[in-house]
Amino acid sequence: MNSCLVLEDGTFYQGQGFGSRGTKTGEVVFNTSMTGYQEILTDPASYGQIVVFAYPLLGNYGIILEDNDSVSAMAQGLVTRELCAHPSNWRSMMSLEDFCKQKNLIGLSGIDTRALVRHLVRKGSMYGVITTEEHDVGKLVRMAQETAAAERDLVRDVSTKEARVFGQGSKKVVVVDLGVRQSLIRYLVEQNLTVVLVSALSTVEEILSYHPAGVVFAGGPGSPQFAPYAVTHVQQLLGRVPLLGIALGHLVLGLAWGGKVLKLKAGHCGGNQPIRDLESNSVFVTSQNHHYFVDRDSLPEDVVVTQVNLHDGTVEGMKHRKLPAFAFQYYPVVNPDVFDINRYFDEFLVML
Amino acid sequence: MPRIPDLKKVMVIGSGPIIIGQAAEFDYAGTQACRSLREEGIEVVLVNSNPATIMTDREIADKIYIEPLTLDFVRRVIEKEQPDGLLPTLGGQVGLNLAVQLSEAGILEKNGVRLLGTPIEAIRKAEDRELFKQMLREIGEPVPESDVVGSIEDALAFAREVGYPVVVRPAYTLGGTGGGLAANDDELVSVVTRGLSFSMINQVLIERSVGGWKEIEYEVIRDGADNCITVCNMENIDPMGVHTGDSIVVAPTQTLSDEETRMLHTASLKIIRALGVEGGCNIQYALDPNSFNYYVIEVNPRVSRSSALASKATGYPIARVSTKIALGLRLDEIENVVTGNTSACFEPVLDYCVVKFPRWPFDKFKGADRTLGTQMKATGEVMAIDRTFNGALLKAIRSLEITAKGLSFPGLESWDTEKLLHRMEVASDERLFLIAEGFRRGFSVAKMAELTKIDPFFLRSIQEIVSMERKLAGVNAAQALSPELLRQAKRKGFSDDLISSLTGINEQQIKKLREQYRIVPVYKKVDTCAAQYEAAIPYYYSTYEEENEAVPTDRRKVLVIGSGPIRIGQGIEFDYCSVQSVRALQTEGIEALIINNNPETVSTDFDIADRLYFEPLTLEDVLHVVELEKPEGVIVQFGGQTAINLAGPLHTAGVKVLGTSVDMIDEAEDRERFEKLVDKLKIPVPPGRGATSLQEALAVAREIGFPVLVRPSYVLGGRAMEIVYNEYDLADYVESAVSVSHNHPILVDKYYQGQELEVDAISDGEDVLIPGIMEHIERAGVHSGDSIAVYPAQIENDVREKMIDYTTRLARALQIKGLLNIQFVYYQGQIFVLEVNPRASRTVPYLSKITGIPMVSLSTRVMLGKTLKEMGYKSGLVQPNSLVAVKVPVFSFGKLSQVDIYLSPEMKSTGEVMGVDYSVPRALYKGLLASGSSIPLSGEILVTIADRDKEEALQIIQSLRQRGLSFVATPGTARFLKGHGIEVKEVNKIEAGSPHVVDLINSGKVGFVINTHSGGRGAVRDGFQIRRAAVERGIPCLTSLDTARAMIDCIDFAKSGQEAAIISLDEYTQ
Repeated sequence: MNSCLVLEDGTFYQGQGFGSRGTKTGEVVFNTSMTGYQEILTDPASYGQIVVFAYPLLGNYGIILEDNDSVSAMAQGLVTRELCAHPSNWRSMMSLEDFCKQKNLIGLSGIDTRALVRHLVRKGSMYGVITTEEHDVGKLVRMAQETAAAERDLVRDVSTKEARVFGQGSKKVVVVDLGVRQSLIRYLVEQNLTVVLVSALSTVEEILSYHPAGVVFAGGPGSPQFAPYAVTHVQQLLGRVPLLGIALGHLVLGLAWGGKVLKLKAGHCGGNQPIRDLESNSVFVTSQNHHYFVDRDSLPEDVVVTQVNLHDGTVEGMKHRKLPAFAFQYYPVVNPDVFDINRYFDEFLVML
Repeated sequence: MPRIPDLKKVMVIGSGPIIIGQAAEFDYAGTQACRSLREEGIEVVLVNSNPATIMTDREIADKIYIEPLTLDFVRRVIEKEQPDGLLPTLGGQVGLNLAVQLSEAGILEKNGVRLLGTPIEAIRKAEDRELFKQMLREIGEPVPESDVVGSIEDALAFAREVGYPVVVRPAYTLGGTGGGLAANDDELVSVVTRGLSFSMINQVLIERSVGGWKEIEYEVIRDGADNCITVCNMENIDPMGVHTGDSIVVAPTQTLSDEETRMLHTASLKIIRALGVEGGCNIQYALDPNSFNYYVIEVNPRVSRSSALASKATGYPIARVSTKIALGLRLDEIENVVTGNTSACFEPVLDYCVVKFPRWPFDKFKGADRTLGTQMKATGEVMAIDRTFNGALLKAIRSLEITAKGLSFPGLESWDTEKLLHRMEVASDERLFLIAEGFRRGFSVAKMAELTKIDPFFLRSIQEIVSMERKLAGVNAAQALSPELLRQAKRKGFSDDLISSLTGINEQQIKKLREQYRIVPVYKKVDTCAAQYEAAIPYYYSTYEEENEAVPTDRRKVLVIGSGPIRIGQGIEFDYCSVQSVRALQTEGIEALIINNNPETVSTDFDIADRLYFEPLTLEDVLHVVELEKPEGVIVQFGGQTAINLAGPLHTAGVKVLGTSVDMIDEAEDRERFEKLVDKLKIPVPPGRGATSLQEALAVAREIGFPVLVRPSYVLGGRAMEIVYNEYDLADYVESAVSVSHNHPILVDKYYQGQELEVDAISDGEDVLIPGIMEHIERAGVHSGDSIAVYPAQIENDVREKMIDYTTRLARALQIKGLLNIQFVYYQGQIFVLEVNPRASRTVPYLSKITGIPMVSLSTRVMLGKTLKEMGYKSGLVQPNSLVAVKVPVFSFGKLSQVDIYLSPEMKSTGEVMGVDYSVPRALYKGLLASGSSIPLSGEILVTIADRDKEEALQIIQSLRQRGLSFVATPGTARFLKGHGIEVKEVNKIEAGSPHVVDLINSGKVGFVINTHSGGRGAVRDGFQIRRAAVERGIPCLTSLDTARAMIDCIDFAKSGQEAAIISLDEYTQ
């Protein structure tokens, strides 16, 4: 089997295919987390992506379905140095390979993933084709280039189609599903909230019809530029109800406030992104999975940056000076060690 | 937050001698701390008793005191130096305990010394079991049911309540000294008795055993502003029950899901915050393999062996960062030196797998109990890095230098299955090999998991190695070895040597095939960030993949071969030499490359050499680096026997070995060639020769006369070397030695029971500089590494002149370029050469320090072509200064049960200390104190003397009596002493029944033991029982009359009321 990954710049990597068979295209990104492959693959933010895992051993503890971050796998494919065929963990239900087969994920193993990551760091993330079929490299390169050119809105693909209710809490929040991770929903329910998960395409009227105490925009894949509807909704809701933006929701709030969103060269994908909280001056490490950021200089006076990335200075948290609205570039709830983020999160909960 | 103001001078306490449980890791941590302090413009005062450390080098600290690490001596250094602060958490348990004592004694406060970093309260909370448990309960972190007890009755009551097995740990010890597992009342009584005697505060912790659970470690760092990160997590392949220092450890964890790692990550941050640690700490957990249940087992509120490992495994310099935190810096204010443009506030990510494998001394101590438990037995460790677990594991195994190429050892295949399964159930140094053998015999993963409690993930990896072995064993000719299979084997971590032994194709041919198929390793960087940022540090490991990141520069470069794991006979001294050599190369403007595999050491700190290759020290692995880098030469003189053994093979492979030529190294080491040489030079050596049978050996012995020194010809470092006094013992020796040596000849030499002398010299082939002559307190026959050495030797002029003459002529004849070491024996007015070692010896750091002559630097520059004259030195002996320096060996017998401790030609010590003062008794007094021994000033001494030593012992015992000591003796010795008018109490031999001599030792009524070895072998004799009992009770036991004699002067000095001097390194040469 001549399985391989071909990048739009013409480089290609040959290895052994596993999981689903066929050919898929997607943005090729890397992730440096040493555990959590399942969460990364099922994070809707990974939708449409071919994920290259920097840590070379994948699948050691198998697949634990209850740890999924979405109902179905969201990535297109995955690339690793070595796949573990016989996982070992007391909760493991199946091997990563079987999971890939079930969820239609194409895997590629035996790759010098460090070389690939270095390539992506130098050149920036790019599009690629992962295939387990006979192929002509030139054709695959063109395919990758075409996909790159046809960048589009991914949010509507991953967003829930109909509203769903979780939990029976004292207060109600609406979560606008830009591609939200299940762990956030689980967390909110644990905070004694009723969570109404609605489609990203829902109108403001629909959202307000639930009489929410607050609205959360959370998710998801790609750039917010492709989801202008979400930006409009935020603008309309601002001031009428407390707002919280998480991950893609953070970017959406940024755009809604008149800021600019730019692309990171290599993304913030991994478990070791350090952040400085500008109010308390404390620092902490977070797990992240995104490729865009809000340009700090483009933000209006009314918006204050609350947190920045310690490494590259990009905006990681912001809030409105006058209106009840906050945003974080990462998921506070998957970072339970971080006390200070929870402070903002608590502030939001208190406002409800 | 700015740095703490008014901090100009800081004291660092080192960890003293290398012992089991405390090896080179604290030299690494302490050295990093000193450098880190000096970076901030702080003057560093360092105290350490171990002269073989880098940290005690002039370049590392401003004021260095090689003094005993006792409260009294350290207090005096504090009073003299008046430091502003003290850094307590970088010197291991020894340094930490001392800092606690200094603080409790009010010495710090009185001298205005501020304790930096982790506050004393936090240290107490972590070290005092009761406070620790209470703190964990308060924050809701689970601890196993346990109790602190001070008596056997309380221990029994607890065990009966929670049920057996239980684990016992003494409070405030290192390496688990005196701890153990008890499965019933009897075992509990014995473990608790011992534990109580070892505990500094006479307490032991007794707790529910979580044997079989996963053992997980976290390295965590917190700054004074409450910011914290985890550096690394690690998984012990051996489940709970085996001391982590004896466990095979892998980083990062392999079998924990994201949920589990997060759970323990959260717990770790919670714990370090609750403790209030400011700096690094290590947290150990037991994790149930079948649920989310876990227990917090232990917290070390200081840098540790694990933190050294975590630093090397990730590239994150924990000691450096901890030091900066102690100075008041925050994590985000400390630069990440690895990337150069990020801060220390991040959690390293690995894109490779790290395996640490312990190095045990069981090859030295054949009779030792090889089972592993809560008491650490390893003397050192190796680390290996690869992109897969298999690769790292196999690299680690060949780094151990235990002659294993893979997961097998000779004779294993003939074990019967019952024995195999039985032995597998118990953790031992061999277990991984036994598991592999189990797979070779077709056992299932499930069966092995049941027997060993090792996670199936690791077992399957071993199974995969075995199945690759099988594939290779099916190949019988070079043409049948396909490129695919060869590539797969290399990617699995198989060495050419291993492939060769499986396929029968010779190693050179396999290498040729690989080159033909372009299967060569590439080198990747350890960069803390999985390639996310461009790393500035040159820290590499090999793997069989596509991209090579180690692109050679076009500078002049030289490769220094390191010394591998710390073991008996090859300790930290050689790391000292390697690092010094690297420095000298750099001073000469040459790029210094180093290859080594010991994670504890300074040489493997990534900012020591210009490039660090973290690799096994086999010919294949070294050649790969040479082929890539094409250095102008390789230096083998500083890496102990490990490196010198590579000289010949490297030379044959066409590599230039710098310094003394390979031919001359061979001439010095080859028995026959060497004999011819000394014959020609008319330099006397003791008579003797090789023998291949008992008859021959007896014939030689009869010819030269007993006693004789016997050893197998193929082993080095004194292994299996013995003195035999009669034909019966010779026969006994030959039978066992020949069976170990596979019919290799044994060497039978005349044993001269004379004074042993030693010389280290530097030669450029023409001039021969002798920095000093050392004299051994113990007579020839005690391994030089186990002898107390005195510099300068107190000898007559003519003897000295002869030694200088022999040394000079030997160095010239052997065309030595670099270092050489010669051992002499002075017997009946004549001086004989015992051996010539054409390399750096164990005494190089000690002699360099006391004489101030940069021996390694000079010899490195000689190897580069400089002459001694050019460097301002000339031939001959350097005039000693007014000081005396005594090197005292330190043993770790307390940790190795069933090992006989008597001094012999076979080396047994693990480390050394140095005592420096203005006379021999003073220096020896300091040396003995530093080594942890005590000087008997009153009370009873137990004496049991072998017949042949009785006459000689008499005078010593009389002298001791005059100094107020009294004696207890076994019947034979007692009769002899009484016969000479010495009052003595008599005690039964063991066979005469209780209360006998061992009972007496156990009663604690004698404070000192003098016992000489009666000859013969085996563990059944009374002498063995006496020596062991003394060790178990922590009572000093002298087995050489020479040591006892030397001690008399020390007693006089101690009783004189004079104070020993406190002398800094600068003052040595003033």
